[in-house]
Amino acid sequence: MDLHDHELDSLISLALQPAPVMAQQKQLAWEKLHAKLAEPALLPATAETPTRTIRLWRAVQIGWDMLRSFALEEARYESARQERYAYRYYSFALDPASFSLEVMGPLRVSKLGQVC
Amino acid sequence: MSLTEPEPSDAALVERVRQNDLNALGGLFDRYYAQVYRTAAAITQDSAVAEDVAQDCFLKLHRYADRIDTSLPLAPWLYRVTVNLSYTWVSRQKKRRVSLEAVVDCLMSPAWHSPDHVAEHNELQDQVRQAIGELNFNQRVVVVLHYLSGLSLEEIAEILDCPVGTVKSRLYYARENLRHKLHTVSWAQEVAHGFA
Repeated sequence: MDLHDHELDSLISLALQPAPVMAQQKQLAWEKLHAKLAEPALLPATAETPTRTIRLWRAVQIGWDMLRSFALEEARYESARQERYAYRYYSFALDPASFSLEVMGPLRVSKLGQVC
Repeated sequence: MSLTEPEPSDAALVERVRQNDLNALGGLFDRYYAQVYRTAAAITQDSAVAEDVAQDCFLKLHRYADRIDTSLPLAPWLYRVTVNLSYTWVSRQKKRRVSLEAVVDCLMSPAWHSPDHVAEHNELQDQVRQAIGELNFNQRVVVVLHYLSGLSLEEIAEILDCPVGTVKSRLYYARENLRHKLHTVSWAQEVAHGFA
């Protein structure tokens, strides 16, 4: 079926004939719409806007929490207090007077924190 | 001498809708419901969905009446909302796949061999409708607005907020696709007749 332009146009127009809209259907649709509009509008939940005092109080709280964690938190103190284990560390020093190379290490740290 | 009052303009009714006048909304509903419903029905190819789309369209008209520019005609605004709501529905809908058996059954059904011209005519219309339904959304919308609503390419471009050239191109490819689909259906029909 090779369709010419005008045939195709008329076929499309025929296929898209307007769907009938009955008076009853229209009336029903209006009643539904009317009922929906009459429903109390549900406003979307909005977040409470904090007052200036509340915002200031929250800022103070955050600042206090930070200070407390730096100054009083025991976990940091405990972490610093834990014993260190030996690690390999070499130090080189060149003595120009004797033309010698001094090699130090490895260093060890005792439980008391002394280098040995 | 006639004393009947002239019909209020769309702009006047929209102004009243802004004051929450439901009678004014009723006037606009009366004027444009059929147009909106038919457009939605042609795009979605589902009368129940078209009813929902039409209802949502008038709900939006009520809700956003303040934003409507009353210096411009109302119809393009309604078409735009209808197209957008239909798009939302179409994009949410899962694509239905038609099994090969169903197509073969359809092609081999006795109706295809009926000599009744009326039935054949209706079937041809169904095929064209189905082919339109298989077009992609953009092409389908242009076809519906052009052939069903009788809008010019410029008007469609304004509704869809795109250049006229884009509308022309979509219409061209839509027509070519329809021509191809109808040719394929016709070929399959001939094959089915040959087997019968």
